Amino acid sequence: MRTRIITVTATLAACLVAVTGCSSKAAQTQPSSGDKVIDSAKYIALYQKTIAHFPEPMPNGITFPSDPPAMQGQIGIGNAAGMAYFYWNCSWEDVYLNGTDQTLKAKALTQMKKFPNTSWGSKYYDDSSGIWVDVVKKASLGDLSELQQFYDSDCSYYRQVNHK
Amino acid sequence: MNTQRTKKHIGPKALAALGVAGILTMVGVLPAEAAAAKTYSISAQINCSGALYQGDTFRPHSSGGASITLTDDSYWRSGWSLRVGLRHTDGTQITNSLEFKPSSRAKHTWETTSGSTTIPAGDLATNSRVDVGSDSALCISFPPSYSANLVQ
Repeated sequence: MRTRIITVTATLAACLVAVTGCSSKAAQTQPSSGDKVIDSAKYIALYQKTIAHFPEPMPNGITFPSDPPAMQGQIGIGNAAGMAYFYWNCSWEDVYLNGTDQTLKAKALTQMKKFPNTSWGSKYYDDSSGIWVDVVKKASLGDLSELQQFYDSDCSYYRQVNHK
Repeated sequence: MNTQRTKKHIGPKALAALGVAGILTMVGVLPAEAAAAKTYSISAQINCSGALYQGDTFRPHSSGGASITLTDDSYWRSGWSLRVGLRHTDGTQITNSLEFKPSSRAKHTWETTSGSTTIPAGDLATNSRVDVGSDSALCISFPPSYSANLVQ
Protein backbone atom coordinates (compact mmCIF):
# COMPACT_ATOMS: atom_id res chain seq x y z
CA MET A 1 0.00 0.00 0.00
CA ARG A 2 2.78 2.39 1.04
CA THR A 3 4.76 1.56 -2.06
CA ARG A 4 1.72 2.25 -4.19
CA ILE A 5 1.20 5.65 -2.56
CA ILE A 6 4.84 6.51 -3.13
CA THR A 7 4.64 5.41 -6.74
CA VAL A 8 1.52 7.49 -7.36
CA THR A 9 3.03 10.51 -5.61
CA ALA A 10 6.26 10.12 -7.53
CA THR A 11 4.37 9.89 -10.80
CA LEU A 12 2.39 13.03 -9.99
CA ALA A 13 5.58 14.83 -9.10
CA ALA A 14 7.15 13.73 -12.36
CA CYS A 15 4.13 15.08 -14.26
CA LEU A 16 4.41 18.37 -12.39
CA VAL A 17 8.06 18.59 -13.26
CA ALA A 18 7.23 17.94 -16.90
CA VAL A 19 4.52 20.61 -16.91
CA THR A 20 6.73 23.23 -15.30
CA GLY A 21 9.39 22.59 -17.87
CA CYS A 22 12.24 21.38 -15.69
CA SER A 23 14.72 19.62 -17.89
CA SER A 24 17.11 16.79 -17.17
CA LYS A 25 19.94 19.33 -17.42
CA ALA A 26 18.43 21.13 -14.43
CA ALA A 27 18.61 17.87 -12.54
CA GLN A 28 22.26 17.50 -13.36
CA THR A 29 23.13 20.87 -11.87
CA GLN A 30 21.14 20.40 -8.71
CA PRO A 31 23.43 20.53 -5.68
CA SER A 32 23.29 17.37 -3.65
CA SER A 33 22.90 18.96 -0.24
CA GLY A 34 23.03 22.73 -0.40
CA ASP A 35 26.19 24.44 0.76
CA LYS A 36 27.53 21.26 2.29
CA VAL A 37 28.81 20.26 -1.13
CA ILE A 38 31.54 22.16 -2.93
CA ASP A 39 33.45 21.88 -6.17
CA SER A 40 37.19 21.49 -6.62
CA ALA A 41 37.92 25.23 -6.78
CA LYS A 42 36.01 25.96 -3.59
CA TYR A 43 37.68 22.98 -1.91
CA ILE A 44 41.12 24.42 -2.63
CA ALA A 45 40.07 27.92 -1.54
CA LEU A 46 38.67 26.67 1.78
CA TYR A 47 41.78 24.59 2.41
CA GLN A 48 43.98 27.64 1.81
CA LYS A 49 41.82 29.72 4.13
CA THR A 50 42.20 27.04 6.82
CA ILE A 51 45.99 26.83 6.63
CA ALA A 52 46.29 30.62 6.65
CA HIS A 53 44.85 30.69 10.17
CA PHE A 54 45.60 27.19 11.39
CA PRO A 55 45.12 27.14 15.16
CA GLU A 56 47.34 24.20 16.11
CA PRO A 57 51.14 24.11 16.38
CA MET A 58 53.21 22.41 13.70
CA PRO A 59 56.55 20.65 14.26
CA ASN A 60 59.58 22.82 13.48
CA GLY A 61 60.45 22.77 9.80
CA ILE A 62 57.06 21.50 8.63
CA THR A 63 54.79 23.80 6.66
CA PHE A 64 51.55 23.23 4.82
CA PRO A 65 51.67 22.71 1.07
CA SER A 66 49.82 25.43 -0.83
CA ASP A 67 47.36 22.93 -2.30
CA PRO A 68 45.53 19.96 -0.78
CA PRO A 69 45.43 16.54 -2.42
CA ALA A 70 43.38 16.72 -5.61
CA MET A 71 39.67 15.98 -5.34
CA GLN A 72 37.02 16.05 -8.04
CA GLY A 73 33.26 15.73 -8.26
CA GLN A 74 30.86 16.72 -5.51
CA ILE A 75 33.04 17.24 -2.45
CA GLY A 76 31.72 17.25 1.09
CA ILE A 77 32.68 20.63 2.52
CA GLY A 78 34.44 19.14 5.55
CA ASN A 79 37.11 17.65 3.30
CA ALA A 80 38.70 21.07 2.74
CA ALA A 81 39.73 21.79 6.32
CA GLY A 82 40.03 18.06 6.89
CA MET A 83 43.02 17.83 4.57
CA ALA A 84 44.81 20.43 6.68
CA TYR A 85 43.99 18.67 9.93
CA PHE A 86 45.10 15.27 8.60
CA TYR A 87 48.33 16.83 7.35
CA TRP A 88 48.88 18.37 10.79
CA ASN A 89 48.17 15.08 12.55
CA CYS A 90 50.48 13.23 10.16
CA SER A 91 53.29 15.65 10.96
CA TRP A 92 53.06 14.74 14.64
CA GLU A 93 52.68 11.03 13.89
CA ASP A 94 55.94 11.36 11.99
CA VAL A 95 57.63 13.01 14.97
CA TYR A 96 56.42 10.30 17.29
CA LEU A 97 57.28 7.38 15.03
CA ASN A 98 60.57 8.60 13.64
CA GLY A 99 61.88 11.24 16.05
CA THR A 100 64.38 10.77 18.85
CA ASP A 101 63.85 13.92 20.92
CA GLN A 102 61.79 12.82 23.94
CA THR A 103 60.45 16.31 24.62
CA LEU A 104 59.20 16.59 21.06
CA LYS A 105 57.72 13.11 21.22
CA ALA A 106 55.81 14.06 24.35
CA LYS A 107 54.47 17.09 22.51
CA ALA A 108 53.54 14.87 19.57
CA LEU A 109 51.55 12.64 21.88
CA THR A 110 49.63 15.64 23.18
CA GLN A 111 48.81 16.80 19.66
CA MET A 112 47.69 13.36 18.48
CA LYS A 113 45.42 12.99 21.50
CA LYS A 114 43.89 16.33 20.62
CA PHE A 115 43.07 15.38 17.02
CA PRO A 116 39.44 14.12 17.47
CA ASN A 117 38.63 17.14 19.66
CA THR A 118 39.93 19.86 17.38
CA SER A 119 37.41 22.24 15.85
CA TRP A 120 37.42 20.10 12.69
CA GLY A 121 37.59 16.73 14.42
CA SER A 122 34.67 17.38 16.71
CA LYS A 123 32.49 17.90 13.67
CA TYR A 124 33.88 15.56 11.03
CA TYR A 125 35.87 12.85 12.81
CA ASP A 126 33.77 10.12 14.39
CA ASP A 127 35.85 8.36 17.01
CA SER A 128 32.83 7.25 19.00
CA SER A 129 34.37 3.79 18.88
CA GLY A 130 37.47 5.09 20.65
CA ILE A 131 39.74 3.48 18.08
CA TRP A 132 41.98 6.52 17.59
CA VAL A 133 42.18 7.13 21.32
CA ASP A 134 43.26 3.52 21.71
CA VAL A 135 45.88 3.79 18.95
CA VAL A 136 47.47 6.76 20.70
CA LYS A 137 47.27 5.10 24.09
CA LYS A 138 49.01 1.97 22.79
CA ALA A 139 51.68 4.15 21.21
CA SER A 140 52.28 5.92 24.51
CA LEU A 141 52.85 2.51 26.10
CA GLY A 142 55.39 1.55 23.45
CA ASP A 143 53.24 -0.36 20.96
CA LEU A 144 53.71 1.60 17.74
CA SER A 145 52.29 -1.01 15.36
CA GLU A 146 48.81 0.49 14.90
CA LEU A 147 50.06 4.06 14.80
CA GLN A 148 52.48 2.98 12.09
CA GLN A 149 49.58 1.45 10.12
CA PHE A 150 47.58 4.67 10.37
CA TYR A 151 50.62 6.65 9.30
CA ASP A 152 51.11 4.34 6.32
CA SER A 153 47.45 4.62 5.27
CA ASP A 154 46.61 8.23 6.09
CA CYS A 155 49.78 10.12 5.40
CA SER A 156 50.75 9.39 1.82
CA TYR A 157 50.22 13.02 0.84
CA TYR A 158 52.29 14.24 3.81
CA ARG A 159 55.10 11.83 2.90
CA GLN A 160 54.94 12.85 -0.74
CA VAL A 161 55.16 16.56 0.07
CA ASN A 162 58.02 16.04 2.52
CA HIS A 163 59.86 13.40 0.44
CA LYS A 164 59.63 10.77 3.19
CA MET B 1 46.39 -13.73 45.70
CA ASN B 2 44.84 -11.95 42.77
CA THR B 3 44.64 -15.16 40.84
CA GLN B 4 42.69 -16.83 43.62
CA ARG B 5 40.23 -13.94 43.68
CA THR B 6 39.71 -14.17 39.96
CA LYS B 7 39.05 -17.84 40.13
CA LYS B 8 36.49 -17.30 42.84
CA HIS B 9 34.47 -14.93 40.66
CA ILE B 10 34.35 -17.05 37.52
CA GLY B 11 31.47 -19.46 37.85
CA PRO B 12 30.86 -22.65 35.90
CA LYS B 13 28.57 -20.92 33.39
CA ALA B 14 31.14 -18.23 32.63
CA LEU B 15 33.84 -20.85 32.21
CA ALA B 16 31.61 -22.80 29.83
CA ALA B 17 30.92 -19.64 27.79
CA LEU B 18 34.62 -18.85 27.60
CA GLY B 19 35.32 -22.39 26.47
CA VAL B 20 32.69 -22.26 23.75
CA ALA B 21 33.91 -18.88 22.53
CA GLY B 22 37.46 -20.15 22.46
CA ILE B 23 36.51 -23.25 20.46
CA LEU B 24 34.41 -21.21 18.02
CA THR B 25 37.28 -18.83 17.48
CA MET B 26 39.70 -21.71 16.91
CA VAL B 27 37.49 -23.32 14.28
CA GLY B 28 36.91 -19.97 12.59
CA VAL B 29 33.21 -19.51 13.38
CA LEU B 30 33.96 -16.24 15.13
CA PRO B 31 36.49 -14.39 13.02
CA ALA B 32 39.11 -12.59 15.06
CA GLU B 33 38.37 -9.26 13.36
CA ALA B 34 34.72 -9.36 14.42
CA ALA B 35 35.73 -8.21 17.87
CA ALA B 36 37.25 -5.03 16.48
CA ALA B 37 34.40 -4.08 14.10
CA LYS B 38 32.36 -1.02 14.98
CA THR B 39 28.94 -0.04 13.63
CA TYR B 40 28.23 3.51 12.51
CA SER B 41 24.91 4.94 11.36
CA ILE B 42 25.55 6.98 8.24
CA SER B 43 23.42 8.93 5.82
CA ALA B 44 23.96 10.96 2.68
CA GLN B 45 22.02 12.83 0.06
CA ILE B 46 23.46 12.30 -3.37
CA ASN B 47 23.11 14.37 -6.50
CA CYS B 48 20.99 13.38 -9.45
CA SER B 49 23.69 13.71 -12.06
CA GLY B 50 25.47 10.49 -11.18
CA ALA B 51 28.54 12.50 -10.12
CA LEU B 52 30.72 11.11 -7.36
CA TYR B 53 29.88 12.44 -3.91
CA GLN B 54 32.83 12.36 -1.52
CA GLY B 55 31.62 12.29 2.07
CA ASP B 56 33.44 14.34 4.67
CA THR B 57 33.02 12.34 7.87
CA PHE B 58 36.04 10.18 8.60
CA ARG B 59 35.99 7.14 10.88
CA PRO B 60 38.99 5.21 12.17
CA HIS B 61 39.29 1.57 11.20
CA SER B 62 41.65 -0.69 13.10
CA SER B 63 41.44 -4.19 11.63
CA GLY B 64 39.34 -6.72 9.75
CA GLY B 65 36.79 -6.07 7.05
CA ALA B 66 34.05 -3.56 6.33
CA SER B 67 30.45 -3.90 5.22
CA ILE B 68 27.35 -1.80 4.68
CA THR B 69 23.62 -2.48 5.00
CA LEU B 70 21.07 0.00 3.73
CA THR B 71 18.47 0.97 6.33
CA ASP B 72 16.57 3.59 4.34
CA ASP B 73 16.35 4.36 0.66
CA SER B 74 12.60 4.86 0.65
CA TYR B 75 11.89 6.76 -2.51
CA TRP B 76 14.19 5.14 -4.94
CA ARG B 77 14.75 1.54 -3.99
CA SER B 78 12.54 0.25 -6.77
CA GLY B 79 14.45 1.73 -9.65
CA TRP B 80 17.85 3.19 -8.96
CA SER B 81 21.25 1.74 -8.12
CA LEU B 82 23.66 3.00 -5.48
CA ARG B 83 27.41 2.52 -5.60
CA VAL B 84 29.49 3.03 -2.45
CA GLY B 85 33.22 2.78 -1.80
CA LEU B 86 35.67 3.63 0.98
CA ARG B 87 38.56 6.02 0.59
CA HIS B 88 41.55 7.14 2.59
CA THR B 89 42.41 10.69 3.57
CA ASP B 90 44.34 11.48 0.40
CA GLY B 91 41.22 10.93 -1.70
CA THR B 92 42.23 7.53 -3.03
CA GLN B 93 39.43 4.98 -3.00
CA ILE B 94 40.90 1.83 -1.48
CA THR B 95 37.99 -0.55 -2.03
CA ASN B 96 36.01 -1.68 -5.00
CA SER B 97 32.62 0.02 -5.22
CA LEU B 98 29.71 -2.01 -3.94
CA GLU B 99 26.59 -1.78 -6.06
CA PHE B 100 23.14 -1.90 -4.50
CA LYS B 101 20.87 -2.78 -7.37
CA PRO B 102 17.09 -2.65 -6.92
CA SER B 103 17.09 -6.42 -6.54
CA SER B 104 20.03 -6.51 -4.16
CA ARG B 105 19.64 -4.46 -0.98
CA ALA B 106 21.18 -6.97 1.44
CA LYS B 107 24.43 -6.46 3.32
CA HIS B 108 27.39 -5.91 1.04
CA THR B 109 31.01 -6.51 2.06
CA TRP B 110 33.89 -4.57 0.62
CA GLU B 111 37.05 -5.88 -0.93
CA THR B 112 40.15 -3.82 -1.47
CA THR B 113 41.16 -3.06 -5.02
CA SER B 114 43.52 -6.03 -4.77
CA GLY B 115 40.69 -8.37 -3.78
CA SER B 116 41.27 -8.70 -0.04
CA THR B 117 38.37 -8.50 2.43
CA THR B 118 40.78 -7.13 5.03
CA ILE B 119 40.82 -3.35 4.97
CA PRO B 120 44.11 -1.78 6.10
CA ALA B 121 43.96 0.26 9.31
CA GLY B 122 43.44 3.97 8.83
CA ASP B 123 40.81 6.66 8.60
CA LEU B 124 38.03 6.07 6.09
CA ALA B 125 35.26 8.07 4.46
CA THR B 126 32.65 7.06 1.91
CA ASN B 127 32.40 7.74 -1.79
CA SER B 128 28.95 7.29 -3.28
CA ARG B 129 26.97 7.89 -6.40
CA VAL B 130 23.56 6.87 -7.68
CA ASP B 131 22.48 5.85 -11.14
CA VAL B 132 18.99 7.21 -11.73
CA GLY B 133 18.85 5.99 -15.31
CA SER B 134 16.27 7.92 -17.29
CA ASP B 135 14.53 9.19 -14.14
CA SER B 136 16.57 12.37 -13.78
CA ALA B 137 13.46 14.59 -13.86
CA LEU B 138 11.87 12.61 -11.07
CA CYS B 139 15.10 12.96 -9.13
CA ILE B 140 14.42 16.68 -8.62
CA SER B 141 11.41 15.92 -6.49
CA PHE B 142 12.84 12.85 -4.87
CA PRO B 143 16.57 13.43 -4.34
CA PRO B 144 18.31 10.16 -3.67
CA SER B 145 19.23 10.03 -0.03
CA TYR B 146 20.12 6.93 1.92
CA SER B 147 20.84 5.76 5.43
CA ALA B 148 22.90 2.73 6.26
CA ASN B 149 24.74 0.83 8.93
CA LEU B 150 28.43 0.90 8.20
CA VAL B 151 30.50 -1.77 9.94
CA GLN B 152 34.26 -1.30 9.86
